[in-house]
Amino acid sequence: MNTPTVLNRRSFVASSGALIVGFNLSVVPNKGSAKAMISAFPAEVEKSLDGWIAIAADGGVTLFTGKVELGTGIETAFSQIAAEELDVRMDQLRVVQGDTLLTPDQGPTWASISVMLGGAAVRRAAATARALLLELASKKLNVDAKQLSVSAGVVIAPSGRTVLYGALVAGGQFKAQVDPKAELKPASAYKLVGKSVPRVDIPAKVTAKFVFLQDVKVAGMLHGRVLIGPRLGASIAHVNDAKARKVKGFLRVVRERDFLGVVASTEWAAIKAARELDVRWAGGQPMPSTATVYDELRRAPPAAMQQLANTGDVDVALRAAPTVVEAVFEAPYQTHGSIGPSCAVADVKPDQVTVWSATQAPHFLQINLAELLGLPDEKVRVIYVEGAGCYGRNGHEDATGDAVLLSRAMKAPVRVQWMRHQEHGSAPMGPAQIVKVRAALDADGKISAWDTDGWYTELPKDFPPVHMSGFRAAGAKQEEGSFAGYTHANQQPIYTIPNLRVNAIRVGNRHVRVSWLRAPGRIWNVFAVECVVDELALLAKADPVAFRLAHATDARARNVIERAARMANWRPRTERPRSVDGLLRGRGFSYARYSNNGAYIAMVADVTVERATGKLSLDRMFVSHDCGMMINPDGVLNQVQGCVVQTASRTLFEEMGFDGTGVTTVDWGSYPIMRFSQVPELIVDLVESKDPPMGVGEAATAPVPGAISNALFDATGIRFRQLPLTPTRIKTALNGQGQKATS
Amino acid sequence: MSKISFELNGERVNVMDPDPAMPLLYALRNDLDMKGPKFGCGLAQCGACTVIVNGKAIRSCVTPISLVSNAKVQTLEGLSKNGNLHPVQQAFIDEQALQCGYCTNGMIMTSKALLDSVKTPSDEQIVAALEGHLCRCGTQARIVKAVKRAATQMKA
Repeated sequence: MNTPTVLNRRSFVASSGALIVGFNLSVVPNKGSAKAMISAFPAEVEKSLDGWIAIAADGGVTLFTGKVELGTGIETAFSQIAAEELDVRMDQLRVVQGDTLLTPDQGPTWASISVMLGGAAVRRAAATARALLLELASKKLNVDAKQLSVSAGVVIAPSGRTVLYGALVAGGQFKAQVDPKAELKPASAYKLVGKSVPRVDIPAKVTAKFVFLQDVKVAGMLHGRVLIGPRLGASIAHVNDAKARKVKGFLRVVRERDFLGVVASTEWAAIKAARELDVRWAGGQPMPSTATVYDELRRAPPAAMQQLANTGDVDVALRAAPTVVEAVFEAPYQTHGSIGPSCAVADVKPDQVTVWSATQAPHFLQINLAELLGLPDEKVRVIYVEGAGCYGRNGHEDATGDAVLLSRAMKAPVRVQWMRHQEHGSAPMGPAQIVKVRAALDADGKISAWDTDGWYTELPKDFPPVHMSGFRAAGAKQEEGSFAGYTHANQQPIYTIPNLRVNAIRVGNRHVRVSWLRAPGRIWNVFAVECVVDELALLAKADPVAFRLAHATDARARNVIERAARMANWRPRTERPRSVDGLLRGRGFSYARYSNNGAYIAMVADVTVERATGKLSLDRMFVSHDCGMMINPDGVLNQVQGCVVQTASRTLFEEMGFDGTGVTTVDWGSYPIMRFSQVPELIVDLVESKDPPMGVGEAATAPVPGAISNALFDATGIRFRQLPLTPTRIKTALNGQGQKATS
Repeated sequence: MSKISFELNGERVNVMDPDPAMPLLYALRNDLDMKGPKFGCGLAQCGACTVIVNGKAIRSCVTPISLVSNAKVQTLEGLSKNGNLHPVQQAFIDEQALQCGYCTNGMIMTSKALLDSVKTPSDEQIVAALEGHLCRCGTQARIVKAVKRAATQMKA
């Protein structure tokens, strides 16, 4: 649902036609345990059924969710789940999401757990509601509840007598707890779940009726732009606002220590005034240069060293092996690359703060803002409004903090829109990563040893507060943390290996703001694993597919590997393809299980490389994907396609650049992403399954660079271990300079 | 007081006393309450701001409002007629050709302009027309399918 201007639940439910008498607004989640929500797998906090579902007199169902639609389709999936359990039509149900006044706290929308965990909670609530409605109906109709059926929100007795949901609890409340053991509809009876129900938000998005965050307008709203230092900790050495003040519509320059913004009555005036502000920055942390990014990681004193696995005796096994494959993989800093730069609207009144934000974590943001403002949590309301795809933590919370600071100064609602160079240059980035592997075969050609070190981001003891760069610049006591997700996931190979050691080196002090970017760490870890596996297969004189099968015992793993190979008509290779007309062709295989506990994905990539230029064409990819039961198969397909295309872009083109003083890649010209002509043909096989659903928003990213690099090896005989796989890098390697083996 | 007048989605509108250098994008979104064209970069690099002026798809983020004086401007809002969706809009729904939807405005407007001049574009022509449009969610293949579908509908 897309109406961000609801005042409170009382007026909300009233506006949907219900008769309200003494509606109890004390249905708010237990704030004391909200901090418990900040984990990847939060326990449910909202136990009251009325916190989840309201039914209006006309039978309209409102589902309140804490999980939010980021553009991947979970609003539709949740609607399907709830409508299925309640036996209502999709168009009889709407969702209110991510509003700290109105919706339960389901923790952040991240980690591909929304359907799995968040959807399960919705299902239990809807099933509880249905059972209660049937109880009420049975009393009204004087018929045993077991004899009643429901269709489109109408309860039907065997005699044909009916009663509407709306007549049973119109505007009143269930006044009941969610029953964790509520009887769930069996999959055999599903009408909606498992079907490719069209996304509920798409019609509004193609007709300009949808209100994105960037479209939010609030009465009396002013327009703000901020000026952000070029590096962490930079301070304002000099500001001259003489020219800015001359801009028609200029209202004020707002400065709090090193937070600097300008507010105007119109958007264009704010943009011009910001451009006319003469600002000089000084100091701050030194930045790397593009060429020294990996050296900086290696030299940084580790915040922690962790041994994640140690089985058998890796050192003995490696010493015993005639050949040890040793490889170092390097992946760069990358930006989330949201098409719509971050934006927020804030209305800071003395005793009530309202923000419209595209945050993934509205309830968490609420707590953080309240703390920063010195207000009780209930005085801060965060209303989620969908922005552009964020793919993790982009600048959405930073922009929110900026809007709050400007609104507080102006005592009026203020909209802040980050400009393109700010989204690229100042939003936190996906961190650079290094993975080193030493691996060997035994006499039978099976993997005997695997010793891996990875340079990852910190894992904080307690969840760190949201880092709103504006508040930090203004002097708020906030460590600029370097938490970017559980980036070590997938470092441990999924294959059967008797002697295994996995070490994580956690890098604390980075000079670059980092945060979680889609499939944090996993993509680069699987890149390392799948390239080394490929190399070991060659050493064993084994086919890459057969070699993987020989080390995979999980039936679902073997299934996707076999299916992908079959789809691609994979032939065991005995001879490297030769160059034809200056074009080198190759194909590569990769497999991963997301986070070693999620969806199973196998891929084949076909590439063509132009010898003279190093230009790589990613011709096609075959993908077999098993994520368990699919709530919405087309929704899954859309995610798989998106994961593959986006990650192919990251693999081939993307690298954030630095020059020691700041970020140099601040627009699409300097940071190209995949264009229409570069998108590969995708042939996707979605495995039909009755197993529990697993997340799909990230899974199919993981095997992508491995498949492409292995295809490149097949085409060129060269192992590529540093990303992105640009034409320059490929051409240099083809010309014989090759990939430097690093220690 | 000066003003710039033009036709917006078939209706005569005035923007009063604008900075003639102000990009059309801000006039459309703020003075005229349009939500279709989006701010993506302000640099004509991404296409999210695309509108149609005198039949041509242009980037409103770099087009000064003074240039559209007395022009015919069409935004995404203006594609549907009497509540009926334009075939391109319907095709984007039928092919579920978006994820976040932020780039969708530009994709639809450029596609509509293409189909107005090329009745049955080849895949290459569609890709060429959309090459300057960025989609970070990775729905390009669906978008191409939607344009082909719309082309078939419009011929029928």
